Amino acid sequence: MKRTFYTLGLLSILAFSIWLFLYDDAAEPGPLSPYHEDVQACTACHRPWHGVSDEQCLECHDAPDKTAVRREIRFHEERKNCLVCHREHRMLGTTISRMDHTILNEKLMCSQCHFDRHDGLFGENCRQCHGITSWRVQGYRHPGAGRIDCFKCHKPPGSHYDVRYWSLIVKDMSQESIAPEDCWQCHSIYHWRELKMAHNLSPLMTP
Amino acid sequence: MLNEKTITILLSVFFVVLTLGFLFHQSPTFAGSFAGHTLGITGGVIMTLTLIYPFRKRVQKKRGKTNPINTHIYYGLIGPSLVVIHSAHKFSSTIGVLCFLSMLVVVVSGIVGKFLFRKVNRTLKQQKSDLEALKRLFAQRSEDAEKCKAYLDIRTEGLSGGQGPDIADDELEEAEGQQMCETLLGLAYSITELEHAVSIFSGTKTLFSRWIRVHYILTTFLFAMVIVHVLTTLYYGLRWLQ
Repeated sequence: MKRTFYTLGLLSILAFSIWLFLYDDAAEPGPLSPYHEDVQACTACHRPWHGVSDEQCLECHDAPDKTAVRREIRFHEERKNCLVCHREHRMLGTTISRMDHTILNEKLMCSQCHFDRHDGLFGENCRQCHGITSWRVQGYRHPGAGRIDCFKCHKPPGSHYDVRYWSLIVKDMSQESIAPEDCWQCHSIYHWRELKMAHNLSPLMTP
Repeated sequence: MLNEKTITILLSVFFVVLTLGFLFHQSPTFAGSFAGHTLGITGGVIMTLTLIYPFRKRVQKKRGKTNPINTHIYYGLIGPSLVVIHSAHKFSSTIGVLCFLSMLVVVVSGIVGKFLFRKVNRTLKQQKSDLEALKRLFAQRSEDAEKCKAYLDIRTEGLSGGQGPDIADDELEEAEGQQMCETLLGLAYSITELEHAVSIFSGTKTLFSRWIRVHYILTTFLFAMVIVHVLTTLYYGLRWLQ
């Protein structure tokens, strides 16, 4: 009796395991993104015992006309490493694409995708200073407090060149003639938003 | 140097803390990454090592010091802890959730068994030994019991107005007889209560002997789910092995 009970139990577990293995939905590690939600069978992307390959992505996503691809994403012409940046079955609300810069080659200029916050002051070769895996400039130390040539790297904002605002800004300054490039007259190096100027800015800030 | 009990408690706390991490953390891609799979495989292998203990116990009939349960407990806590890290608290696929839940139930049943079963067993042993000692003491005083019985009979007759010997005249004998009877009655009450407690703890022990079967069944289910999980992972492909 006991042996029959155990045998039946084991057989039940075995049957359940087989059913679970054959039931595709049971293995789904997360919902598909809206881009792929119309895909019905898992095998449309997953080749059994091999997984997802670039070839399978390209069955649907191959762009026949290369000139139709936007300039900043022309590296897709390589038609490989799709899964490095594009991943499915992520949690709801997350993006399907996450750029991995390590797969890019030297030919692709950063400025083709990224806005240059330095306004071209440091040239076009971002990689001279920035790394691929981390945008932080390794070993960079800001010049000391004694420097007054901030404008070589920092461009004053548009308001500093507008006479109406500039007159308000320099209103209470002891020196009447002050140029927008003389950043150091009002700003401190390590706390850019802490102003050295005498007047209170709050009336300008309040609507 | 940490003793076995401290190591077990620390590993249990570590496991519980890791598991509760799902309240604060979730990673959608870690489980399928190379690092995630490495942790999962390592955890799975360590979990498989827990089977050595029941194999040696049931098949090789090795018990006690030749087959210590501590290694079973260590494997049973370290392996699942690695599996929790592997899961990265992402509970999406049915198979993954079944694997995780069955693992959790097996570990919890193991922890409960380890602490409660041992506690019940030790208490029962202690109670049985105390009961034996009390019974021996009672048997040694069987003569006193006879005297006490006689004393009580006389007292009963005296109180009911019968014609018994006039022992109440001797106050010293009266006091001694009362003390002796009180001691014996106390002893008898203790034996009765202890016998009752032993019967309850014996019942609990029997219940725990059934628990070990539940532990086995759950473990079988867990490993079946682990096998299905591994097979489906291989079937749908390893992301890092492109």
